[in-house]
Amino acid sequence: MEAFVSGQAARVVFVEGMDVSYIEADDPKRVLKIRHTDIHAILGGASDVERIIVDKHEDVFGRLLEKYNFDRCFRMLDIAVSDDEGTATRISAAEAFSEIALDSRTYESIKNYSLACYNSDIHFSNEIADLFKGNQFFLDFLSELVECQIHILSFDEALKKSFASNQIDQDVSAEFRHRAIDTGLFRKVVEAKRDGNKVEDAVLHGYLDLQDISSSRLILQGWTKQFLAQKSKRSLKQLESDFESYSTSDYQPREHDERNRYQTYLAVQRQQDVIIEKLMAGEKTIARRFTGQMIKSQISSGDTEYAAKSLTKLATEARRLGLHSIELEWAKQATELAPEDGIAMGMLADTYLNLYRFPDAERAFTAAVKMGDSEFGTLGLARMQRMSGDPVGALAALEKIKDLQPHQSPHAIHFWQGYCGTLKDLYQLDEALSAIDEACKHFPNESSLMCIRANILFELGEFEASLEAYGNIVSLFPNESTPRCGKAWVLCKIGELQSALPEFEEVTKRFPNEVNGHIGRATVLRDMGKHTEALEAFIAATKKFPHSPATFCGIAETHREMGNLPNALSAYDKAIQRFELEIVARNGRANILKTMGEFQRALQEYDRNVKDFPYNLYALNGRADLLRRLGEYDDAIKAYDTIIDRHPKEGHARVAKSAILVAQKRFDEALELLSTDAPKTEDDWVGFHIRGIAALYQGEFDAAAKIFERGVSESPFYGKRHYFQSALAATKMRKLDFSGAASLLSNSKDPVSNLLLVHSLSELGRTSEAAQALDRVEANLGGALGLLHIELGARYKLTIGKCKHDEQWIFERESEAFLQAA
Amino acid sequence: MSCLACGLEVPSYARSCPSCGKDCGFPNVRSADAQDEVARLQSRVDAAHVSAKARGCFDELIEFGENVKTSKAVISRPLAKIHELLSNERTSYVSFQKEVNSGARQAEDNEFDKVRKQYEEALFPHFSAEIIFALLSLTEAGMVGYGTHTMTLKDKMIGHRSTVFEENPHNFVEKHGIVLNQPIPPGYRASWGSRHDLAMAKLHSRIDSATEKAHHANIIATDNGGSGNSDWIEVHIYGSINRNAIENVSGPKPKLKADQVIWQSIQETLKSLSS
Repeated sequence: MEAFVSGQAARVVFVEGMDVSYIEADDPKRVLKIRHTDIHAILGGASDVERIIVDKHEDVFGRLLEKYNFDRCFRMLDIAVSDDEGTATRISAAEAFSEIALDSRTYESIKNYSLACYNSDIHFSNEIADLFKGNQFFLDFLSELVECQIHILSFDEALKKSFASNQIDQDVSAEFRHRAIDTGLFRKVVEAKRDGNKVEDAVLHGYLDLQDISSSRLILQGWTKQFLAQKSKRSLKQLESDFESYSTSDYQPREHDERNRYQTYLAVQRQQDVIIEKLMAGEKTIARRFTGQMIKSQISSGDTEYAAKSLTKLATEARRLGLHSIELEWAKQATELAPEDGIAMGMLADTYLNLYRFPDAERAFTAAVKMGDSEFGTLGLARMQRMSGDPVGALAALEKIKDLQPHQSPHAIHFWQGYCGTLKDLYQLDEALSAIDEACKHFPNESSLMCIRANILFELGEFEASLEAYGNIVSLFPNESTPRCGKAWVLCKIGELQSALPEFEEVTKRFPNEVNGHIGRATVLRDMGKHTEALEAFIAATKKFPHSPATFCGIAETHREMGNLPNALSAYDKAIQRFELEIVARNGRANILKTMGEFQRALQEYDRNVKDFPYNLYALNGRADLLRRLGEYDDAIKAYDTIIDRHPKEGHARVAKSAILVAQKRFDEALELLSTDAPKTEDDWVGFHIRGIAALYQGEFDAAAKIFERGVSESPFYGKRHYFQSALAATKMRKLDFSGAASLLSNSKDPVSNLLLVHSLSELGRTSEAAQALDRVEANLGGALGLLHIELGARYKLTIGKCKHDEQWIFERESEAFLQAA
Repeated sequence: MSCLACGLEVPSYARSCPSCGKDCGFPNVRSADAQDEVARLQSRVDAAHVSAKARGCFDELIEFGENVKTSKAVISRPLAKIHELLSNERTSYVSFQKEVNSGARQAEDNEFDKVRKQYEEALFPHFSAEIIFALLSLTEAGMVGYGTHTMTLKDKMIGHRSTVFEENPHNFVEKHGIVLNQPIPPGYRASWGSRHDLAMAKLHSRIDSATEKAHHANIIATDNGGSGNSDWIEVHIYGSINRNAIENVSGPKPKLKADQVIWQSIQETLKSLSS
């Protein structure tokens, strides 16, 4: 892992993939987690941050202590010699200095620096001697420092002149000065001058120590020439020449024979297999350790480039297994080992993108462009724009690539996937279909493109064509799971649940490690009303795929459909605990609270979700839906309009807004928002239901009944069918057929149906049954339901209170309740 | 904007008119006071009021907003860095970019500092080097998890040149998917005098009918030290500050002797500055 150590901040920040933590010098065993975005805050403007690679936290304790001691020693010196400080503080500072400087390393470092930096505050007087009289160590140090100030100043000025006369740029100057101080060169020349000794020995060491800095010899010569004795200049030249021969005779490249290389390759392959096994078994610590060993061994054999490739491969495996923190850690390490490797950089960029770390992804893709992989980088940047909610910008970027005949590029397939997907995001479905047809012409055997085509057909509402396309892909590529899953999902979404189930079952048998198949099967079982089997399937999937949030959310949703709301809430809590930033789980939890009548808590949850996911449709719709449910229609319309402005074809917001418009009796505006085509998708069926309620509101009972009857018999979605049944009952009640209504509502579970049942039974004189039905409905429902609860209880003397409204008012609230719940 | 003196165009990043030299105000404050920023923030405040009314906690939200009007800008820093600033009137606390540009500090070799300039530029195009960062607090403790010692700044030294922003800009940029030099969407910043509006717009979901004044400090700057989920409202101050802008330094008494000496020195300096 990476460690960023600072003595000034007295902290170390550790970065291991997505996990970031820190420790403090005064309690190094207490590890505190932070976000990666807060690292600079933790290091708090420190200018001495050093990055090192360590295996465990303890490895860095020693370095932290060194840096801390060095920083504090210097500060204690400053405080002790400052006339602005109080006497007691100065004495304490000198004591602390002496204690810290007992450590020989700290002492050497502090001397290196203090004998290189001129300090005009440093002086020695009787007063000073008196002040620190009990601290001889400090007095000795200070007196030496005072003696050296004049020499420090002259060497400092000479160095500046050398930089100027040799026209050394600022970075090199800073590096040279830093290294001259850090290696003790500066201190040695100052000490030599103070003691009246020759500075030549120190200078010669300088040649060796600073040889890797460009123009170091020129700088050294310019810096020290005025301090050298005349007769020593010849021997200096001799030594310079010796140094030349030393530095050029050292390196002999290592040779590998091919056989050894092959053996090494096989060994690395085996090691990688073991690491992948460990990852699959969830043994992350061991996998990390083995990887560290393998990489060390590859680097020590001179195979740094291959070490980077190994890490990139392992990062890919980690991604496949959903271990994103490890993926990030290894992808980053690979780019550090091979900073010019475009593939490693691309992997890192992809990783950042999948983690939604856009600024980091942008930097990495831009780096890939600079490394010469301009198409990959540009494609990546376009993907990033698309994912960040700017499909228009992404499309513009992709159009530019399209003009360059992308089918001839090695990234052609990725281009077409991105291009067609972006058109689809923008609901330019006809253009998307033309583009994917062109792509399939260029790459007739590419199943991923064929699947995109089938999916676009589905989006176009060409369900039969979509199914046929998926079917063809399945027969051409029988060993691929994606087309099979695609076909099964189409069947599921168009309500062909009986056909979807065996398709998903086939996927789970043939591709047992494909999570999508398991989720699909469980979802279909739930949609069919087979709740116990669905629950079992989701629970089994969570065990097999613990990194998939959809499996955990599936359990919660199944409990919700079974009416077990506390269990559903608890299942969502578990999902959120595991996947803190999973918006589906967080909105699901809020939905349950809403269903439980806990509106205030639910709204609070939705608001929090909007805060954390400002552009997420689930979050935005959830908040708007709840405002609608509470009867805050104008505010709800504003909320839906915000969504529709951003996503003009977003189905849910349009349908939900139409429900409000019906409740406000703005029927024409409402119907304009609804599709006139035969309903297929869930949103279509909800819209169809709203159309029926609009008819009911307007007294068109036969038209309404026709719609609801069709919904009861044709809607493939179990969860939606009972709404049609209840609405049909409400229509019968409007025609005063309370007996027929009660019969339709006999198995009511939701509050709307139960209140309708209360009304019907009361009209039929079955008061005790009506009272029981009323008891099943929470009193604190709010909105139209809350008002109905009070009014029905009072009207039929089921509760204490006085009725306030007429029958027409009750009928309208019953219709409104459907619209609020739609 | 147009210069009030000569009527010619003033670039959004410029402090004074390039034509006549008239001081046109701090660019961050001008940005926050721009019409679309104010309108968008107001619509967020309206949405906050709607939610709070629906949840039966409108009065509590208003009380929270009133309390935020008394909030201060605080900066958490290592003790040693605070001491550096306090020990000399000539020492200024400047932006990270200025420190790097002046050579006083090297950009650390880490990816975090590399993306830092990216998002700072998104917030303050062409003048990000002028901005220093603080956070809004109702206590003087700052964020315990992020910096044990905290400087509280004097309103009169920073209020006129400060703006507030929704959250840590790095988190904001990631959350909002702001890439490729896209501008920051309006409605997420405010001038110092409207900081209570931003706080209500952002934090209304944290308020409920049980919220009391004592809870406000933790709502405005949520310190989940150790869990990695801390959250705050940022204060962006144009220009630098020196020790005269520091009202107080707070934090626990250090455990190590050298730090105790630094702490003692800080306390003495503050005392002498206030006398």
